[in-house]
Amino acid sequence: MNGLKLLTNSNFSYRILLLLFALIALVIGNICYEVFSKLNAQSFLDHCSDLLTSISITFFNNIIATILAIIIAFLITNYLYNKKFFKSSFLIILISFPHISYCIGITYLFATSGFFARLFAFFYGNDIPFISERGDTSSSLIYIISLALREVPFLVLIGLSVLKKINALQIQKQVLVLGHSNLSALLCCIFPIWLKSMGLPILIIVTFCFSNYEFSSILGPQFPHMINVKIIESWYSTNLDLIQQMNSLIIITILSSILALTTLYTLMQLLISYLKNKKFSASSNYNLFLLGKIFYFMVIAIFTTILFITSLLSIGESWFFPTIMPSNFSLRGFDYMVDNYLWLFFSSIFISSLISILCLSFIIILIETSKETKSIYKFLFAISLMILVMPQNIMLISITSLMEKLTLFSVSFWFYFSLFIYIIPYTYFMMKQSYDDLNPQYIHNSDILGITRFKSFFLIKLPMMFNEFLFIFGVSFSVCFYQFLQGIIVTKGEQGLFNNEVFILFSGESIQTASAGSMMNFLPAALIFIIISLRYRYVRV
Amino acid sequence: MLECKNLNIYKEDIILVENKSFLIQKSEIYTLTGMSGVGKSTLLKYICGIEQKSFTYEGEILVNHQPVNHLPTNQRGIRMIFQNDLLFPHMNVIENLLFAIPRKEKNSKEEALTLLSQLQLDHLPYKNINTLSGGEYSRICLARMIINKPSVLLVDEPFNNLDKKTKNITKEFFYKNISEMNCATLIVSHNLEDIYSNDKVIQL
Repeated sequence: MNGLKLLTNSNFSYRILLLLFALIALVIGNICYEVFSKLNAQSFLDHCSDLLTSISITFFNNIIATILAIIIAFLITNYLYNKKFFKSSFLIILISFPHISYCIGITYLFATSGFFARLFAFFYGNDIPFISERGDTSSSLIYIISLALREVPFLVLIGLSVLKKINALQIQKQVLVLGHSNLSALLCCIFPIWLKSMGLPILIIVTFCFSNYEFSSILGPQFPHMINVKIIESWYSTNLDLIQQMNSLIIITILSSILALTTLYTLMQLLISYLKNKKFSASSNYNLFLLGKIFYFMVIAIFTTILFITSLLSIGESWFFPTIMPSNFSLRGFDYMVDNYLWLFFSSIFISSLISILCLSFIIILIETSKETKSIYKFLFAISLMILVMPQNIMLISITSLMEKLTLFSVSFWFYFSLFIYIIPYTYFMMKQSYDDLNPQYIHNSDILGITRFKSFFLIKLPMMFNEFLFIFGVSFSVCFYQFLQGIIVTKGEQGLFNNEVFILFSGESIQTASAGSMMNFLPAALIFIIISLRYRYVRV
Repeated sequence: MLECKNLNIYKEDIILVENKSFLIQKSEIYTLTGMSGVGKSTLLKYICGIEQKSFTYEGEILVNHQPVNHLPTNQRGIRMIFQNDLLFPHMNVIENLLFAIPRKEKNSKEEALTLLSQLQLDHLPYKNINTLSGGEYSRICLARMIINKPSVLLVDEPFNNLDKKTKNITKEFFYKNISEMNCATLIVSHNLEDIYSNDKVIQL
């Protein structure tokens, strides 16, 4: 108990906060030093002009995907907010859907010999409907839609609590009693207020778009490689020019994400000022509600189809175009995975659980002691969240370069540190939201009764917020479990999580084995979802 | 003109409002009083069309002799000020007032500014809603409804959260404008002090 008391001691949390800030400052400072000290202005300009197509494709694809994700997320959020019995715990299974499995699933669906092509062939003969050429619009379209739909569950999860927080129902009533329509309530008031409150989640998804490797490499091989892929290609190279190119690409990525954020912010401001001066005379928002419903089921349908196709591929034998269903089944893929990767699978679960629990405890201590934390520490923590605007691949490159300089710690330490640092922002935002949702009256009452902060946490907050804590743990665990860039960049393949092996298997020959790996990938998230659902169902706080 | 005929409100099997009928003509101000929990606010919300699903309602509501039960809230011609009225946080003070005007005209902004100066709030038009004090907030909520020029106005506990001095200024301003607006007004209040001397009282 004394150890726990020490953790909730504010002096102790100051030290942890300072340590975290120092490490993050080191990561950010190091990449700035590395890039700018070795940068040659002339070669930077040359790279910019050489890679113009890649840069523009990356920029426009990502910005369009983000806008699309925001629109779809709002429509779905509005639909779910008005649905009485919706349980947001369901979203965890969509959020924790492995990125790699999702991307591979999309390619299985839309590839020239994919599932939709087979369906098309079944009805219209063997003409292949999807033509993939370099820079083909349909490839870009599939990339944009896939990326947008992948981001939707996360935005919906945060968006739902934003709608509750801004009291959207009361806003709607307020607009109605002023004589305006439901559509005006939705578009002129609720949407702008929602959008204004969604700044940070939008920042997270823009950063993700500019740092993801799996979408760009798996879904975008048809068009000139996006800069995210080129950074990784250059990272493995020993060629001086390619190393120079990597430095240029890091600057280009940061500049592109800042430009994308500025563009989005300007567009948001313009849209908000246009909408608040506009009124819509249509008497009902039923169409938007219906649209939200359609998108909601579309997202679920896509995720379910991917799961279905992946499961068929994992057990199907010689499933070739144009047959719609495999005729022979075997468990060879699973046997191979169990024989070779079972240990890695369980150790990945263990590592992810440990890191998520650590992160959860760290954030709880931070929030618990933040009332007494001096403004300087709050400021330092706010700056620490700058890591958010740093694309993950660049952050990892910086950590690796730091690792090479500071030989004090082992590769494993940096590997765990890079996982920990990546899930901190997600955990912090969800935890802060849960704390904000807790009725402060309970805490005021316990203060009045003279109950210590330590007791009030364990006897009041923990039992009341346990479902939320479990949910946040579930999301943090899933985000951690599905990481693979750490294994590529920080440890250069020496150490990694189960997902790294799945990614490698997909580049190999046996689709059946890779799909079996992908199916195993779903298991932890599914298990967490079942536990959370059961707890929500039977244990109401 | 607002007319309510044989209104009944039930919650499960308990009757909250029984066979209530009243007629409020233009320029008339009625006050609805009663103990806490008798269904004053529920009745107001039903008249306005914001029905709560846990209640059962019966009765007819007419606005200017037209039945409005079947119409959505925004088409009933009835406006309402809630007990905890909300100003829209993404708009400043003047934008909140302008949003309440059904059809914007050229002089709408001047009209809103005049109203603010009548309320002694002429220093606020471009202020962010979050920076307003409680008294300023309540007066702007009233001003927003006044600028909307309703023909039937329902008000739920309008002076509840105000201190005595602000309450007097707001009350005076409120009744002065309501009288000028020529609308049928129904105010819910449990505080007899808030009842204007000429008010007609409906007891629940």
